[in-house]
Amino acid sequence: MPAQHSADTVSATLARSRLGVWPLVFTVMAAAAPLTVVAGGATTGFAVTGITGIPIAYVLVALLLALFSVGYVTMSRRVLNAGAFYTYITHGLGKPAGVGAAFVALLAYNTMQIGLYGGFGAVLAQFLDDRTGLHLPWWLCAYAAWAIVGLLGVRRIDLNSRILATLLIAEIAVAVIFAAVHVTHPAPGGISFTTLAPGNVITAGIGAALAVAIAGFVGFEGTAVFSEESKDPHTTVARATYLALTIIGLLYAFCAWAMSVATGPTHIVDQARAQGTELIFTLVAPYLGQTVVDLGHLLFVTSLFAALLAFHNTAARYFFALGREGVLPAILGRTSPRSRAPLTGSLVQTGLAAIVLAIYAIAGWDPIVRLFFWLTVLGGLGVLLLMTATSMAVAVYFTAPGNRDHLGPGRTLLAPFTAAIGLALVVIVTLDEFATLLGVDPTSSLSWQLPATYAVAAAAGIVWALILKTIRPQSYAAIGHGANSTTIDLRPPTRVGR
Amino acid sequence: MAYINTAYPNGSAPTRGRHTAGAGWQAGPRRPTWPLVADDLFRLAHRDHDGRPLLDEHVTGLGLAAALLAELVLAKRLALPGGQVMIVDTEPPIDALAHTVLDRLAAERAALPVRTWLAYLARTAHQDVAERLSRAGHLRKTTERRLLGRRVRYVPTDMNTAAWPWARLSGRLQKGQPLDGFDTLLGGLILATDLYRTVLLGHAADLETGLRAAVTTAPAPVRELLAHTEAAVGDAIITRR
Repeated sequence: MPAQHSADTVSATLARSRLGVWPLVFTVMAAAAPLTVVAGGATTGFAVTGITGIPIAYVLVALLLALFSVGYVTMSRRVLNAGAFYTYITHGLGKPAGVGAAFVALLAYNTMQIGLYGGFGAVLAQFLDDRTGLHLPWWLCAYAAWAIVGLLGVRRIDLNSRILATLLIAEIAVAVIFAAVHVTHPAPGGISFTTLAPGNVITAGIGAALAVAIAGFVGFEGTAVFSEESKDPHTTVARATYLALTIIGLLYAFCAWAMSVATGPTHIVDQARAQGTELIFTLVAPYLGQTVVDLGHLLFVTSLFAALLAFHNTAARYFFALGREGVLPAILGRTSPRSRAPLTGSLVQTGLAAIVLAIYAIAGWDPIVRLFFWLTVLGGLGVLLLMTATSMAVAVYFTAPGNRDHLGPGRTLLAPFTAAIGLALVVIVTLDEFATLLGVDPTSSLSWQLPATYAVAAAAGIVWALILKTIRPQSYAAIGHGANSTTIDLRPPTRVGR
Repeated sequence: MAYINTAYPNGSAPTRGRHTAGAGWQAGPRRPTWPLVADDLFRLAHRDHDGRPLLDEHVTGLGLAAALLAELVLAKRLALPGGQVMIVDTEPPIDALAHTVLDRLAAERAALPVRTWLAYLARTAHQDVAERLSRAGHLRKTTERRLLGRRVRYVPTDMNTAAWPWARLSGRLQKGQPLDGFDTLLGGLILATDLYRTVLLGHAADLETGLRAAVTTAPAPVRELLAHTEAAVGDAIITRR
């Protein structure tokens, strides 16, 4: 057998079973949940913040995230590791920062996931009430989803990728059809592009709008996790990332703008406040049959569920990786042998969700504004902080000429550095307008208490890393390796990852 | 590599696998033996009476792939310097499957990482090892009709043989007896695949400590192989889609 031929055989054989661009796009878009963002995120964003510039915010954020992705996917070629964010931060900014980032990520993804239960519970309860006359409290619907997600998480049954792809395409189709109806039936005064005008960027409250938009994109960053599993780590991850960003960016901006056309830019906020997540449906109801509207509602519910499961798995994965590294108790690194599920990580996430849902149910807080919107936006802020730190880490990592190798300075230094500055600016304006974002009084202590949880998480992570350094040097050395931490004592300390 | 000698203190393997089975009636010179690690891991990963899998399919594949490499390591055909698979002896193994695997490794011009070979061998390892056990008469292939299509399952022909690796491992660990090289590897593989909590049921926590201690004293290539297996399994859990 000619050696040259067979060398190709191994890699070609392995590549055949690996992820291509489109499966990767569908995987991450399930987490981004397009219809959830369009019907839930955008409308609640208009209502809570009172800002009409939500559509342009989606465009701006897509562009900024594209810039972020340049450095991010370049890093994914260098560091093949399923940890992504906190792995990269460990490489660029050191192990204490890495653990800080890991804690922030744990908090952010758990917050995001739990917040989605509010949306799911309220939307499903409302839908059942309207269509069947069944009066169920939102928390009962949320707990039903919670039980299924918990079970699927432990059994590690994923929604079949074909079903997922079909649902996603249907979701996008419904969103586009609704938007087309919105645009073709504008409010008196005709089609207006006011909400897309770049002038909105400098208006007060753009920080809140940007934060709403960021929360809608969370999930796209999952591509890099699969760098090892992709057909070609050099191109697959990059293409999938840009493709996912483009699709969801265009979709969000178009649909949010279309809604403002249907209501008229001056009325979008009032309408969104009056009708909440029903707005997108009530605007098309006069022109489309009840069947289509029902289908839209159902897809809204399935998209929320897909996102719930996706973020549940993300959070469980983080618990698992940190358990394997020895940063968190080793019991979190346990798997369920029969199902390849991160067993303990999944159970912990399910437990956390149960507690938070119970608190909301007992306190009687509003599931849409306080649970869905607040927590997903708070989760989005956490991911924004992580992306900012990751950009900095990528730029720092590539300042070492050895790490840059043959890669040009544009994508290794310039893009991540610019993205870091851009994202940091977004962080600053977001924090400044956090009260607007929550829809609370500017003097409310919530406006600093909620973001401060990330500072606490980051500080706890950094301190814990420094404690580990003294009490468990073996675990400290393994930080940032995820599942590969087992091979840590086998290789030179400078080369990390695979 | 001193551990090869400790694998079989008496120069012969106990009742493991088929190569010793013939020695009973063949009164002549003792036939050479091959360390059939993958056979025993296959038995551990399936229920002894009906052959039902106890471990996720993908993880089983990785574990069996590691076991096939482990056989070649135990038989001094391979070294694993820095996570790369290097052939140190091309003498054909007496076992047909091991022979095939070594040929496949040798056909590669450059040394490839352990992780690449694990992924490559994992695709077919389950089928390969099941067929090796079937040829030796330890498994019987059955086809079940199911709601959608059919499912092939390999049912052990003798429950006692199928349960022996489990009985041997947990017995030795419970009595605190030292494990030989073969069982250390086997134990390391059930740790790496998280199968140990199923295998050592009831005593998992106590026995895990003993098993981990045994693994840490294993020779470097064995530890290297086990570490890469555990990492591959961990990544398979994280990136499962």
